[in-house]
Order: sequence, then C-alpha cells, then structure tokens
Amino acid sequence: MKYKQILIPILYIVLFGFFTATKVHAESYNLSVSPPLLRVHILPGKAITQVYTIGNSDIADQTLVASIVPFSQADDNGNPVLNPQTTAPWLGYFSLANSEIKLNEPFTIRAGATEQLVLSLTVPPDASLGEIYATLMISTYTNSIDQNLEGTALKATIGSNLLITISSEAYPDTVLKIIDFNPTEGSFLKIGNIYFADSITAMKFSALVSNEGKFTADTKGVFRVTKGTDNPVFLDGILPLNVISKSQRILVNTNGAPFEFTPTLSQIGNHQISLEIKTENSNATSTIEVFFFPLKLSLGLLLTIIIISLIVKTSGKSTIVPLDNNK
Amino acid sequence: MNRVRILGIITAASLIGINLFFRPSFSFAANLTSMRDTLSTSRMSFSGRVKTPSIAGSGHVYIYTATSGNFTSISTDGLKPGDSVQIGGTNFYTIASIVNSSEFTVTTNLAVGDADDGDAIYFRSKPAHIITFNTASAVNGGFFQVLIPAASSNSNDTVPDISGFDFNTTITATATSVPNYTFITGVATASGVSGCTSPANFHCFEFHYTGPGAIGAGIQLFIGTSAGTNTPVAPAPSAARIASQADAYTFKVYNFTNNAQPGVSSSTDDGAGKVAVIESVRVSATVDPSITFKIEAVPSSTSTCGLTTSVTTTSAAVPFGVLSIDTLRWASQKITVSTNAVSGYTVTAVENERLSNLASSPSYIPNTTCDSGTCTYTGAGSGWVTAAAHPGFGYTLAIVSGTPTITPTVGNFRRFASITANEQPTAIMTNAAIASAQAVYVCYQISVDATQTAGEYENQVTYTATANF
Repeated sequence: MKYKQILIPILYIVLFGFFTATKVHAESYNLSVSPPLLRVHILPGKAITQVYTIGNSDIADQTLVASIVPFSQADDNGNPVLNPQTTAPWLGYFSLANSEIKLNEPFTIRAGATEQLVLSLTVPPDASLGEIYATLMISTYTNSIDQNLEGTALKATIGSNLLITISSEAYPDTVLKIIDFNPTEGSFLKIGNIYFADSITAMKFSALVSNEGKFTADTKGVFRVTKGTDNPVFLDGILPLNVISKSQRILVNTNGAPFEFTPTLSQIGNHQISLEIKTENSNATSTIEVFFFPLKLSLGLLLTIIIISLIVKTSGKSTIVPLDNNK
Repeated sequence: MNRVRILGIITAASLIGINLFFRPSFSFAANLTSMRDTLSTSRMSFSGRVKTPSIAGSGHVYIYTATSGNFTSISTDGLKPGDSVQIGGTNFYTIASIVNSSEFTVTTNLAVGDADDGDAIYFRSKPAHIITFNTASAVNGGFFQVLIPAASSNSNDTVPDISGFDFNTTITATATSVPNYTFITGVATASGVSGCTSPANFHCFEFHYTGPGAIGAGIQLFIGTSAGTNTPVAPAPSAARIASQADAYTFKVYNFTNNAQPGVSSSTDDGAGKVAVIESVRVSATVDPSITFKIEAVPSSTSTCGLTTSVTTTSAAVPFGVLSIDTLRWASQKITVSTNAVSGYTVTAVENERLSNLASSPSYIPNTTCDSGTCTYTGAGSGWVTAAAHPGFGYTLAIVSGTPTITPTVGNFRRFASITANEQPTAIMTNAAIASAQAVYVCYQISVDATQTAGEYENQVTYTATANF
C-alpha cells in the first residue's frame, strides 16, 4: 500500500510531463559553410566533385534545403545578384553524390554537428564553352505554417559561390580594362591630364576593373609609383579578386584598403602612378601623371609674403607730421 | 754495528726525502656533476642579407640564399611573423608574413637605405641561461666561474656571431642561494676584457658566495633574464652548419676558492657541458575558408537602434502581435557574420510580399514610405517617427560589433525588396575584407491606421549571406 501511495503520484507527474512538454525551438540560426568559393576550370566531358562542409552551431537540430541558384550579374564588391526563381539550362550538370541528401530536398543537421555535401559537376562533352556562375544555397526549411503567427516569418540562407569556366584552354583569353583610376584623397588639382599634388600629403586612389570578355579573370598585379626610370619608388600589391564576365570590381590593395602613396619632400617632380594587372588570361595597365611639389609650403610662403607686404605697405603710408618751430 | 745502523738510518732518510721531493702528492679537481645549461629558448639568431628586388617603400623583403662571411642565415626558416628584425643597420621592422623560404613581408615599408642589396638583416634571439649542477667539494666562501663561448672577435657589439654568444653590452648574472651557499650579485665580463682573457674566446661570469659550501649541493645560476634584457645574443648559424641540425657549444663551470685568480690559479672543481641552438620550428596549419551566419532573437523591452522593442522575437519569427491604430511598434533581431574569405561578405534581405491577410478579400499592410513618403527598398532610407498617416512596415539597422557597412543606417528606414514585385534582394550589411563576428541589429517598425482591415497578417523575409568572390 505504501508503495502504491508513492508510485501513483510519481506516475501522474511523469505522464503530465510527457503530454504537456513544450516543443523546443532553436534559439538562433547558426549556420556555416566551407568553402565559400569554388573556382574551377573544366574541360567538356569531364566531371569533378567538391565536398562542402555545412555546420549547425545552434543548440537545436536544423532542417535545411540545398539548391543551386544561377546568377549572371554581380555588384562591384563581388556579391552576386541572386534571384531564387532564376533557372538555367546547365542546372542539370549539378547533383549531390550523397546517398541520403538531394538537391532541393530537406535534410537535417543535428545540433552542434556538421554535414558534408558532395557536390558533383558533370559537364557533357557537347557543352557550350563559356562560364557558369551559381551559388550553392543552404536555406532553412519548414514544412509547417505557424497558424498563430501574426507577423513576419524568417528564413536564413547561407551561400557558397561557384565560378566555373568550361573551356578547352587552361586560361581562355578575356578582356580586362582598368577604368576610373583617379586620386580621391589628398591635396591636388588637375590641369589637363596631369595632377599637381602636394609632396608631403598622402594620396589615396580608387579604380575599377571591367571584364569585357567572356571568361572570368583575376586581378593579380601591382600598384607602382615611378619617377622617370624603371626603378619604382613605391610598390603595393593588388588584392587578387575574381572578375566575372561582363562585370566590374573595385580594385583594392592586398590589405583590402584603397591604394595610398605618401610622397616625401625629396620626391618632387613628375611621377607616374600606375596599376598593372598581369594574369594568365589578360593584362591591363592604367597610368596617371602626378607632379609633386611642395604645394602647401608654397601656399604658406605666398600667404606669408602677402601678409608681410601688406604690413610693410600699411606701415609705409603713415605720414610724419613736422614740428611747428614757430610756436 | 754502529756503521750499519747509521747507514740504515741514512738510507731510510734518503728514501723518505726522495719520496717527498720527487714523488709529490697529486691532488685532482673533482668534477661538478649533472651540469646543464638550459636556455629559455633554443632558437638561434638570424644573420642574413637583403637581396634585390627589395626596394625602399615596399614591405616585401627578399633575402640571399647563399652564405657570405658572417651572413650565414640563408632561409626564412628561422623567422616567423611578429619577429622584430633589424634591416639596414638602424631600423627595426616587424615581420608580417613569411612568403616562402627566401621572402618575407614587414608591417611597415622599408626606409630609404634599408633595402640596398647586401644590407644586413638581424634577428636577435636572447635566451636566458639557467646553469645547474651539483658540487663535488665543500669550498668555503669561494665562487663559481661560468664560461660561455664567444666569437674570437667582435663578441660584444650586439650583432649575432656565428661562433659564440655575443655579450650584448650588459648582462645580468644572479644565483639562487641555497644552504651553505649565500650568493651575491654575479659579475659579468666580456671575452677579452681584463680578467677574462684565459681561456680565450669565452665570456666570464663569477658568482661569489659566503658559507662553508657542501658536497653534492644543487646550484642554480642565471645569466640574462627571461624578458631578454641584459641577456647574451644567441649565435646565428655556424659556418659549417648543416640545416635542421643544432649547433652545439661547450660551456664550462669552475669552483674556485675565495682569493683564487681564474686563468692563473687552479680550480678546486670543474665541469663542462654542451648548449645547443637551432632554428625555431615554424608550425603551420591550414584553415579552410568559410563563412558563418547567425540570426538571434531579441527580447522585448530591449534598446536597439535607439528604440525599445515591443515584442520578443525568435530567430524564426517576428511576432508583432496585436497592433494598435496609429501606434508604432518595434521588434529586433541580431545578425552576426564571420568569414575568412579575403573579399569579405554581403548579407541581403528580401520579403516574399507585403504583410498579407489572404482571407476571402485579401488585404495588406503596406510597405513603409517613411515620413517623407519617398523611401523605397533601395537607397539610404529616411526618417519615420510618425505613425499617424504613415502606416507601413519597414526596418532600420544598427551596428552591434565590428565595422560592417550597413544600409540603411540607424534612424533611417526603408522597406524590404519584394519578390512579388520582381525586386532584387538588397544588400543590408557588407564588409570588403575578412570579418570576425560582425553583428548588427535589424530593427523592424510597423504601424497601421484606422482603415486597416482586421485580421492576421504575415509574410516572410529571407536573409542571405554569401562570401564575396
């Protein structure tokens, strides 16, 4: 009897807990994907496989869907313009080699775990030569509608970009042009095609590179300052960036910052400032002429001379009244 | 009989005398035992040369890969990012990265005069020495002399030598007092200076003590400091060195009596040991490029974007709940992005459509046009502080951590791009370089007017994070 008196309440409590347990929701979406970029050259008739690692760092399991979304445009920062509704005839080249995960079908990654997606690209032998640009999108998925929601539901997506060149050549030619290469900060003025700049003030430069060809190129090269001879007085690297066909990218240095050159007082005279891109499939160069001279010093001296001249003139105009000896 | 006795005595005396004079007793110095010279780092110094095409104004340094005289460092294996190296004789530079075995970069560009072909490159490794041994005799009130190998010339010019330790001007020498040995501050003398000439090519360090001494006592002597100040400079690779093998040097320790003169007097006990230096092992690891994207809930009554949230969000939903007419209501979520992709990342946002009530007569909560009536889904947005006559749904952003570029900025509102209207997702958060946990608040704002049809409204917003290519 005593045991029954204890067991029955315990049973009630346990049953109550089972039937009233609330559904646990994820406190956050916390997704990761590696690698974030795949750059591939491939011959028609060939196939490759790339493993992507998808991470779920949240405290709850996450149901996701993987899809391939084509794009053809990107902004100046290399961010693709994505429209999930977009389609392309080559989407069938892609598949997942996973036994239990398919494109456009939900799969679950457990809390704190990772999953590998084995993406296979098979290019038919008669595939057109050219570029394929797409993003492997990993999106959160729910198969139920919250009837009680009065507001906005959220969907999180993380993407990894694919830049694929289908070509029989290792480095098919493309056409790169450097445009809008100009100083943006510093003390300078432009007369004709020559910039006249102060020789002790740092100058910053901006530039765009335009890919007018059919194939992706990258922007390996240097930012160079020379004075007459071939020996540079300053060198900086250009951050290698991918420029897809028919697009533009902002050029930056290897630190991800605008190009900058700080002349010294000894660097007076005509200088050539150039951006030189040399890659396996395209070269591009742009040069501007800058004449450095002590602009600020000169202006300061000029101002000083003017002030002194004014003072001297003003002092010279004051008249001397002679003494009246008759008084 | 008397003659025999006398002869026997003379013979015995002679034998005794001969024994004393011509067979002197030898006393041998005992060996100090368990001798060690432990270095705080076994890393050797670097002595190399600048090579063309290194140029002033650039941070890229090329080095010679062939030895020349005392310039025996011919590979960057002995260097690592963060090292302070002297280039050109005067200026110091911090290594930013190791490009390959013959190139490295520095954090500041080379000054004029520091990039000439053949200019010296020095890295000074300055390990503290900890000399330990056990005594063999009890020498009352004596001293220990330690000899550290030195080059035969220029052994006190702070420049790394290739056949010994450089004295580096001033050295701190101390010892730990133990029972029977109470030490005073040690005396350091550079090789070749008076009092440190014999044996040649050694720096001398004397550690005087009071006390009776003891046999088998553990002694610990310190030369230099753990911080590297007042510490000898470790040798650079020796001329005959084989790569990846240590250069070993012999150090010596003597135990003298109080008034002994090292180099002239004999020590009571002595010992020798080996100390070795080698290139540091540069450990490298590969970190795969990746991007991480996180959306977190924000509870109600939280101050975000200069506003106080009205409701608690989840990572999957923004439940505004029941809206009051002509009253602004707010909610927030926190977005965090990290990536080691060199081009950085972009986060875009798009809604599937306006907040909709798809009942028999569909009705919508309009997207905001702000107070001005002109804000749209692109651009910087504009202010929206008045609910009356300005119903709508929109958002603003505020940076929580890091320095991402956000649009719109806090206080400026705009609506989401709409898939239904064939509008492209708009970038709300970007960074053009690698990013570590850059976070922003997305702050939603909503209001309805009296003409809004009653019902439940909902839509879906999609945030997409991709690394820039």
